[in-house]
Amino acid sequence: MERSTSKVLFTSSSNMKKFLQKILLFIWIPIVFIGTNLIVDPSGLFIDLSEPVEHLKNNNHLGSFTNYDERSFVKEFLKRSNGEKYDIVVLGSSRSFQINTNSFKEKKRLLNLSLSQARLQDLVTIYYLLKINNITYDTLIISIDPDYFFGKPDYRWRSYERDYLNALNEFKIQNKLLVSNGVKPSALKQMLSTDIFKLSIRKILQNDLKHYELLEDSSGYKGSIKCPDGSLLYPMNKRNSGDKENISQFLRNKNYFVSNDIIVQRKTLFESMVEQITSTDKEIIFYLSPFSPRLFTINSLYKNNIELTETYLKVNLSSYTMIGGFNLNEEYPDSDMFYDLNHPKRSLVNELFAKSLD
Amino acid sequence: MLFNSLEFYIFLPIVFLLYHTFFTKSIQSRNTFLIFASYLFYGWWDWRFLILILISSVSDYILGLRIFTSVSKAKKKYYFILSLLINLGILGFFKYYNFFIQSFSELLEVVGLNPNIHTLSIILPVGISFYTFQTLSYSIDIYRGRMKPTKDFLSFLAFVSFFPQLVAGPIERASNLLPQFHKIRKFSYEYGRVGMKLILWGFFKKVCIADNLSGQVDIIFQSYESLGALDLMIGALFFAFQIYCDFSGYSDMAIGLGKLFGFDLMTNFKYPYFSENIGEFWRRWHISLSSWFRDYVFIPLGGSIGTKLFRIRNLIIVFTVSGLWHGANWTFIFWGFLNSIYYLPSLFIRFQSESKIRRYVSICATFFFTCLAWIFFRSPTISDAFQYIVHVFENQLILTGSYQFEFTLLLPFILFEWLGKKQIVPIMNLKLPFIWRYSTYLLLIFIIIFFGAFNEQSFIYFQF
Repeated sequence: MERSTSKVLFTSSSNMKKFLQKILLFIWIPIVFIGTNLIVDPSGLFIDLSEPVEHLKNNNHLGSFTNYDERSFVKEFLKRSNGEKYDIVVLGSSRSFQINTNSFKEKKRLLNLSLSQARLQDLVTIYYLLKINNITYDTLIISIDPDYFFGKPDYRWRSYERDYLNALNEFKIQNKLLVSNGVKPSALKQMLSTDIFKLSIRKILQNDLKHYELLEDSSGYKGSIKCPDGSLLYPMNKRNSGDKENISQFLRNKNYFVSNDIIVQRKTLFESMVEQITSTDKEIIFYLSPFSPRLFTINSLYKNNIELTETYLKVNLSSYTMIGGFNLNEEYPDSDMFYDLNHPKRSLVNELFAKSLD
Repeated sequence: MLFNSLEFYIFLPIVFLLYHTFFTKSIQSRNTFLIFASYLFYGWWDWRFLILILISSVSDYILGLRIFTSVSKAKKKYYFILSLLINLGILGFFKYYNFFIQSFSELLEVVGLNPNIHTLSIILPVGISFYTFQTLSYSIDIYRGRMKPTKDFLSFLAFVSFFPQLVAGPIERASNLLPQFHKIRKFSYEYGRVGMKLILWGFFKKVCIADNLSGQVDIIFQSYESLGALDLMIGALFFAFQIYCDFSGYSDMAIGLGKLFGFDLMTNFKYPYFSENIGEFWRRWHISLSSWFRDYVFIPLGGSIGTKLFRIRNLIIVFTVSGLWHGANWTFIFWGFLNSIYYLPSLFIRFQSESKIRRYVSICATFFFTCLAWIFFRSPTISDAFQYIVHVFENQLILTGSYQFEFTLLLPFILFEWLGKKQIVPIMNLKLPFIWRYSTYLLLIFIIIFFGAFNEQSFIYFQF
């Protein structure tokens, strides 16, 4: 076997030196990139969430409070709400963000704990957090989403992974398969994310480095508004426009699986959770948030996922109160009642609840 | 591990620095480190499948030596066939078992029988077709007496598992790559410079072009019944560039990474869409595979010697098998067959045009036929592909989607490739003052950051 000599090593080093010198000309890019993401911190990974939680609990509205770690926020909120009583608690995804106190005729104390990109793991964990924080309620509304069953894994729930594992233990749910090794929303991921970088640059250009605004008067505010009941008002331009979203935009990310049936582990986890929740004497309502009629005009595989989910729910949850429906094209054919392809407007949500709970 | 994943961004600088600082003492230590890095790279996806690479490596190492040292022809043949059986057996089981079982079952149903044959849930190991073909070339070359087997086991392990080209090629010939593992590999500035440019351009092609086109392509191919005819034409065009940028982007990165570690990997793409005929296209597209099939299938079958019918037969066999190599689906087989039909005129007529206009027309025509074939490659079934083509004529000649973003990226890209088509990649030898060159690279990096699709999509060719 040939062996290299020190001369070879030396030659190699001089070449390497020259190479590294050239690389150094570009080294400022990752430094600026990571530095910007860290300093602007648009996800609020490094902010103290107890402050916005307190504001919300004191009945204040928060303006432009976006891209933060919603799971950690909800956890903190529930921790600080220990022992409180609500009339209604809502669990769900962004598609149920619009359920609010005005969705009900009588004045109710409502807490909407919906989360962006929610998965079944989120529902299980939040239900557990409600329990361990002794938060009581009369009615539990669970918003069901086709993405619980067909969505690609989303690992945001790993923010409270420990609580999720405790929940599985507590509820005796044997579903360890859903404990995956996806990357946690972490400082490392944020530092290296191009999406976060773009967001940071936008924030810098808009000279808006605050993580949220405390709104004394939310009327007329143009940004998104996080309401004290946990519901979310979209930014003014989105509130006032109809569903103009490009279909391709919605499907571009391909955040869903194509399958003829629901993945068994997910079905099992869902059914175990339903069994757990329905074993109490609380009123349980399942809410099926509608999709824009435009979504059904294309022959998409997503449409198939919606139909499979609805059929499954109708068979398995037929004995429970169910509000809404994924496909309400006949009653609400106007796509202007939607912010985009999969988010109904607040007015439509209020109408659905008013009609159903009459 | 994907080249466009967070893990790889961390993996690469660590491996690069360790390789060039701590593992410089001997060839053996360098190769051992490369094996470790390569196995880590592959095992990150699924460590269980490392065993297949190991089986392939060990068996071909031993059988290569046996083929060479055996005196009798019969024994040589015996060991050679054993090597073929092991490699093709692994490939056949993991890649084609279900396909053949299902096709056989459907055939029996057609003749009125009701077979009760079950398929198995088999995971397709990433890159199996690539490393199997690479090791096969080693055994074949030894059997044919074109090369001597290596006695250095570590070099052989490193040759089979070399991480830059392990999962999607280029499919290296042992005669080219293996000797490089026996040599002292000094770090060369020139290699580093070329390597970085290849990586940058490949990365741009993957995340800015291929991954941005993939969303639109998926939608168009899923919804061809209800979209406008123009959308369907754009769908085929986008897929042509998606697959080109995805695969050639991977190859550029692989070759570039090889350079960073002191290796010369073979060129895999030479601007194939600027070809004037299908024959030329196949000399410029996935060159490592085309030449593999030429050397190990087409020529042994008789190649271009013999009667016209004989040559046609050879051509159809090679292209159809090459289609099957791409995947266990009739669509790939049909795609291969269609390309053989396209190729036939090249066997008998020499295409060469002096006129510039005729050359451009030829390039466009070749590209058109290539796009047509890609429809079969991309569609889930042959019937879907035909339906797609029928709908191009049947659907209204309108545009229902919006593709400004994709075209804004694609058109300058095509122009840049055209202008730089004499280089390995267009940014390779920019004859500009330093500050302009530096600005070009910066611009490219910022385009990647701001317009790249960073959702860690797999490379299309990983599945083959």
